[in-house]
Order: sequence, then structure tokens, then C-alpha cells
Amino acid sequence: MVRKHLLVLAIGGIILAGCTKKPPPPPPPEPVVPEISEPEPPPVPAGPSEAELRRQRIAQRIAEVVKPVYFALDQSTLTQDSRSTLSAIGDLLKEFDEVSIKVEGNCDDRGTDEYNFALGERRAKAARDYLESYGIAAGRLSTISYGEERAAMTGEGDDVWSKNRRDEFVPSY
Amino acid sequence: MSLYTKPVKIILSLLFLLALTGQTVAQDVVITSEQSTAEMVVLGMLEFQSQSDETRSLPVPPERVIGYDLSFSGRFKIFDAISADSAALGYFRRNGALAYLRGKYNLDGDQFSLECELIDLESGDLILGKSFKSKKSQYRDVAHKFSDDMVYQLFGEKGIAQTRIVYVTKRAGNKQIYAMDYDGANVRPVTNNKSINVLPNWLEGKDKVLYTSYLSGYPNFYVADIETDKNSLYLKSPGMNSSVHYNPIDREIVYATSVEGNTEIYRRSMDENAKSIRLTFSPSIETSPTWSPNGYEIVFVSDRSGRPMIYVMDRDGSNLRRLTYEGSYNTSPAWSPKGDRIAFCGINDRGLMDIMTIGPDGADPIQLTGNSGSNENPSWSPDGRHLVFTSTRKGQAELWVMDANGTNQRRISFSGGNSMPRWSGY
Repeated sequence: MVRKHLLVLAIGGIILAGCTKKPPPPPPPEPVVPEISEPEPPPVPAGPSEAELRRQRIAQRIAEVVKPVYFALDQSTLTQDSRSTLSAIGDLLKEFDEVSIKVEGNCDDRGTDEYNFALGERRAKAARDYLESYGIAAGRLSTISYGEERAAMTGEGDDVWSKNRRDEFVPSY
Repeated sequence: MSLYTKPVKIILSLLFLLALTGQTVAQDVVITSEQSTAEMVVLGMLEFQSQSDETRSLPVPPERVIGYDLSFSGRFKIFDAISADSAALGYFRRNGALAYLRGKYNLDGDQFSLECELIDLESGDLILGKSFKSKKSQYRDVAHKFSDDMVYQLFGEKGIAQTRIVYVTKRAGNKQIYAMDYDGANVRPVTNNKSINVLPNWLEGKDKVLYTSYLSGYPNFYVADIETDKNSLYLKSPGMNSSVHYNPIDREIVYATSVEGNTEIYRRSMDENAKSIRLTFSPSIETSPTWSPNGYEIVFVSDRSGRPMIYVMDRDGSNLRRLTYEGSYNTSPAWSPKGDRIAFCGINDRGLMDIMTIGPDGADPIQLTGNSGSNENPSWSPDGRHLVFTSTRKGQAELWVMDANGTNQRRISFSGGNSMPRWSGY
């Protein structure tokens, strides 16, 4: 222990010694440094900008309202719950013009891959169409189907399958 | 009797036996009670002679590869013995064999050599003799070549021992395309990227693969060359592109895309600057299009009735007819290379899938799997005598093969998470 302390002290001593021994070489750079540091004061306000505040509000609203909607087996019909989720997402899109949404359609892993790609697409489009009918410009909405490739949960059984038959919403802004 | 006439006589007698009724064959050849044995050629197989200790570095001796091929073909019944002493030959004879196989092999550095001979059991004359040379890494290929030579010599048909299977495997969380020999050996990657790669299908022969990849963010078609490891974009269009199937007769693909909004089926020549021709017009889902072997018709899935079912149409989209009515969910159709059956899968009452075949006119449906996990994605061997498919019967999804009538189901993959198999051409 004692030795370590001594070592630390010794290293500190060397660093200090190194600092104090500067005088001979630095003369030329010295005058340049203080001149540059003068214009720094302006950013003193320190709080986020208006744009940043808006982005924070968007992120907060997204966290509140954007969540997956779920479907019945081999169905792409929106349930009452799904419609209210989508309406909330639609309100968010109305509130913030700069946000656009990618709808990702997904299926459980029963049925074949090819059919599930088409079914996932249909599910994504069901949500896209709802948002469009809610008054969101088509240009702010896009769709992709991942079929059964991106399961939210792995395994078998109704609990797993029902969690995988879903649309997910990926906002960008 | 000369050596030249004897082989012909033996081959003719083997073929003759095949043509005879089960009763006559049973008298001459068969001593077991197995029904299917009546159509088989019974062969003795001697352990092949290794010419050097170096051959111990081969994972399995070549006669094991050949033995698997011949048994798998369903055309041969094999009885094994160590050496050609009187006990072994007597054993072959008692089991109804007319001929036996023997061989020699050697490994000299990277040079593998193999000699195989089919010998008339009675006279000891040579019926078929072949010798091969290959690199060590391809020693299974030449063994398979001999198996196919045997099938061709004795049955006048091409064998499938040199065919491959392409499939999808889950590796490190991503789905990649892999290929293997038809017997599960020589597993190799076809894609290796950070994206989703699915729905492979053979383009031409057994070297080029068409598949769907999300490499650009959205699903488009790519071509991979297994020999050169080259992957390139083949067809890109907006929307969901999937389920591409190639017809080598007319050099055309048929595929599903939502380029015009709804998922519909399109046909397109492989010629450059070719235009896609839309074949279906329905607000329902149309997908999984697969050519008939002669390229005249296309079998596909549609849920226009409310549930996914199998339909057939002519190559121009006309003459549409529904093929399946049973169950609530039929999909994944595959037309047999002989043209006489269409394989597909359907959801059973436990919510899992099973594989069936049906005539192209909808007649005579037969269920091939049952009570054994979920069984999906059937694909025919090029001779139409076998099917490869995905099964979860042992837990993880693996590739399995079976005869066209559902018998001899056996597993050919073991790594877990394997699916979407497609059997190559010859």
C-alpha cells in the first residue's frame, strides 16, 4: 500500500515537473490560443433549441401512442382496439407534419412463407389505408411486409402466435 | 458363353424381372415379405478395398455413399458383406441377388481414385465397370456419379444421386440461403449478408439459384452462382416481390408481386428487356406460382374463396380452375416433374401443417404426413420419385425427405432452423 502511494506521488511529481519545465519551447503558440477562445461565450443560454424541444415532444408522443396492432389468424381486418391505436397515431401525424410512418406487416409462422409475405403486406396496407382515410397524406405512409421473418416472440401456441400477427409502426422525422 | 454376351443377358434378365408380375418375381428373387421389394433389384455389396492408409482421412468410405444412393433410389435392395468368400456369395444368393458390387479406392495426396465393378453373381463376369478420378474434396461426387451410372444401366433412367437441395437456414439471427447435396452432405452457404434471404429456387440445372432478399431494404430477386459464389440483383420493383419459379423450357419466370398494389401473379421472360405479363386480376391474395413441368400451366395459391386454396391456370392466365376444397388452408403447391401429381400442404385440425398430393384434375388426394409436427414446403426430386420438405417433428425445423407415396421419411439436416427446401434438376 505504502509503495503504491509513493508511486502515485512519484508519477504526479513527474507530471507536475513536466508541466513546469515547459518554458523554453512554447513561446510561439502561446499568443494564438487565447485569441481563439474569446468567441466562446455566446452559447451560454445552455437550454435546448426550439427545434430540439419539438423533437423531444415528438419522441414523447411516439412513445405514448405508437404501438403494434394485432390481427386474428389469417385476417387483415382491423379490430376496434386497432382503430383507436391508429387514430392516435393519425392524430400524432396531424400534429407533427414532419413525421412519416413505415407500416411493417408481420405474421405468425404457421402457413407458408410465400402466403405470409402477401398476408403481411395486406395487414400493413390495412393500417396504411386506415391512416390515409383518417386524413394522412399517402406520401407520408409506406408499407413493407416481413411475412413470418420477424417474429416478436418465438415458440408455438396461441399466446405466441397472436403476438406475432401484427403491424409495427416505424416513425421517422 | 463369352464375356460380351453375358452382361447383356444379365441386364436383360434384370429388366425382364422388373417387367414380370409380382408373383413371378417373388419366386425368382424375393425372399422377404416386403411388398416394395418386388420392384427392386437385389444386389450384394462388398466392402470396397482401400489401397492405402491415406484413405482413412475420408469421412466415410465411398461404398457407403453409393450404398445410401442405391437404397434411397428405391430401386435397389442391398445386402452387405466384407469380402468375396463363399459365405458372402452364398448370403447374397440366398437373399435373391443376381449380382454384386465390389470396388477399390485410393487417396494419393489430393488425388482420389475409385474403381467400381458390378459382377454377375453366378458367372463372376463383369456387367459394369467404371473408374473415376477426382480431387479429395469431390470424392463423394464421383461415388454419386457411379450410383447414377448404375440406375441408368439397369433402369434406363437418370438417377438423382448428383442433385442438390437449396434451402433457408437461420444463422446468427439472419435467414441465409444454403445448399447441400441431396443426401445432406456438402453443406455450403449461398448467401452471406446481414439481411433476410428467403424463397430460393433453382434457376438452371444445379448451379444457379434465384431467391428473394431484403438486401436493399425491400424484397427483390437476386441470382446466386453456387460455384463462383457470385450474387447479383436480378429484378427490382416496388412492393413485395416473392415466390419466383423458373421454367427452363421457355426460359421464363413466374412470380408474385404487389407492384400494382395487390399481390398478383406475373410471368416474365429471362430475355433482357422482357416485359412482365400480369396473369391474375383479383382483390384477393395470389401467390406461390409454380410451373407445370411442360410449362403450359401454372399452379398457385389464392384466397379468393375466403381461405387460401390451390388453383391452376394456363400460362396466359386463362382457363382458371380450383383444385382443392378440403380443409381451411392449402398452400405451397409443387407440380411433380412427371406431371401426374401436385404436392401441397394444408393446416390440420391441430393447427399444424401436413403434406398431401393430388392429381392435376383434383382427383385422388393422398395425405403423406401426419401426427408428426408441422410439415411444409414440399419439393420434388427431378425424377418425381421423392419429396423434400420441412418438418418440426423433432422440435426444430429440419429438412426431411420421403418417397412420393409418403414412405421412407428420413431427416437430412441437423443444425436446426432449416426451411424452404427446393430440389435441383439433374
